[in-house]
Amino acid sequence: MEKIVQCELCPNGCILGPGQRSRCRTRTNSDGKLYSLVYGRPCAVHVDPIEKKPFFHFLPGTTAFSIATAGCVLACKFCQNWQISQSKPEDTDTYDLPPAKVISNALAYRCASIAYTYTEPTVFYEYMYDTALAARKERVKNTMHSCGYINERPLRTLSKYLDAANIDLKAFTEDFYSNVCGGRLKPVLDSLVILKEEGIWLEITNLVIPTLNDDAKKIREMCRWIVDKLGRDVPLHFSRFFPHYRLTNLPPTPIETLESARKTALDAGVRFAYIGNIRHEAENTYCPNCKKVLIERTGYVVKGNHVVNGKCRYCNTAIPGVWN
Amino acid sequence: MSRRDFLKTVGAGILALLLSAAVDAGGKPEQHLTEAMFWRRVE
Repeated sequence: MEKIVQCELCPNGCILGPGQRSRCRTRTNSDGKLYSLVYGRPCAVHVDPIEKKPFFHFLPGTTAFSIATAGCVLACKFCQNWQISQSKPEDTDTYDLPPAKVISNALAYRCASIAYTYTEPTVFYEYMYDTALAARKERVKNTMHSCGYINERPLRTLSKYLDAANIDLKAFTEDFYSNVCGGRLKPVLDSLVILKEEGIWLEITNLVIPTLNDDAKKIREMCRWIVDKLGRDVPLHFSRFFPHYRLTNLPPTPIETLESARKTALDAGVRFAYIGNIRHEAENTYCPNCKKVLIERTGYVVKGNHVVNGKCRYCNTAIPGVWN
Repeated sequence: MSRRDFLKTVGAGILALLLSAAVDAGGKPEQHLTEAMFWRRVE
């Protein structure tokens, strides 16, 4: 009988015969067992401001030891890291960095957190899980920036050691996920609800792409879903698109489109809506009560922080987030 | 350029090439297999 296996990590559910490779390129069936090919072998390692992820309500002004391996569960035509996300592990140069070394590096560089990021951390799940577990013991926090395309059981298992997640909600239509990303919307929405249930600090990024997902009605629908299912306090980042990978035919997102999306979010009840990938006053955090600037940012640099013990310095309103 | 200098230059070039190849090879991963956490056998 043939030794066939099914990966149960993400909704792709790859069924693999011996020697076959998963769609994410990082898993293989070897003699009837499923193996990860990227454990302890990141192809990208950097110390980044946490604002770059972006996290705006999670330890602002700190740095995150950031790692990624090759591979992705999706195939977004606009991917900004396509050189590594759409590569096989053997086609990238890698570091030998087992979990213990990640932690020791994070401590040596005085990083408050580790970020599993750049590509899709689900593809290096085992590596991320072991690193997160070890980091928790050393009181280093764990964050991930993910597309949220992961099954419930692995996500809940990881959540025990996860402190914060930024999930790309790439659009609010199944058509977009199917035609532009090679995936489905429903599993991403499920992941967002699960993360909220698990008490993980959650932020959402929506890359606004001209003509593909910038329909005002759909953005309004998305914002209403966020408020209804996740609450008003989940920060929402509208990010500016730049032509990349297979979408070089489209222009960068007009500033007015981003401003309009942000207004739509605020009108729908989202309390913290941001504009990213561009210098703009909507990079700042404003107190939802007294409207004063609480965290002043320029790009990834925090120039002023007036959140004191989780509250607005000026009017004492509680500001949701992880501040210490 | 003298014959001696020419040979020195060629030698240094070959050494540089070898070293650069060694660095490249060091960056490429060997295949490390770690059993995955979430999978099942298909009967």
